[in-house]
Amino acid sequence: MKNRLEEIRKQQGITQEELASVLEVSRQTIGSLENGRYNPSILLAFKIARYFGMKIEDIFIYEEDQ
Amino acid sequence: MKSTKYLLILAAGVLLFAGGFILLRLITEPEGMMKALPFILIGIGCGTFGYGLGETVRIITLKKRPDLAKQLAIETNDERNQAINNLAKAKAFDITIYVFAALLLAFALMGTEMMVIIPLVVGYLFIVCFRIYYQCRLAKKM
Repeated sequence: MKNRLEEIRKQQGITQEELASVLEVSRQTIGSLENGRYNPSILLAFKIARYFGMKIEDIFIYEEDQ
Repeated sequence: MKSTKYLLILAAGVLLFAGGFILLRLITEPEGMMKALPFILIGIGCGTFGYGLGETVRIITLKKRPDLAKQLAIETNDERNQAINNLAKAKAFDITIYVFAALLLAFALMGTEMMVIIPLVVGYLFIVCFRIYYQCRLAKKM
């Protein structure tokens, strides 16, 4: 699953460490999410979306062929 | 977190070690189980002592460093870390099934006594059954 997390985070001027601290996850998790190596749980996806004041589908892009 | 529990574990380790050492000194001509018991007590005692000491030091250190405690809690509860941990455990279990089966086969071919093979087979079957039981239980629950 692709996502716009890195783009949105940089737009808001937040570091990976700061985002990780707010979401109470490790910095490595943020890095893995941004690289698309790890897909978040629905809870974490909601937390991220809520933090940025967006919908989940604005951040995470669902692709049919996976 | 209370360090009292781990201090008790530490003390139990010392007692087990001391017990094993005393048995080793007192029994000059051991027979049967007593041949191995002192060494088992010393071994378990050392392990318990090490575990208790490590945990006590960890708790004391984390009390002094709340920032480190928070970071450790985040690392422990991090969903990716948990997923990695669970996947690693699942892989290790898969390997265990094959390794254990190979060992059983090797023991059987070497003509090892039934006293050894039967408990191993029972243990192997127990592990397999336990997996199936949990699979059914979790299927109902989730």
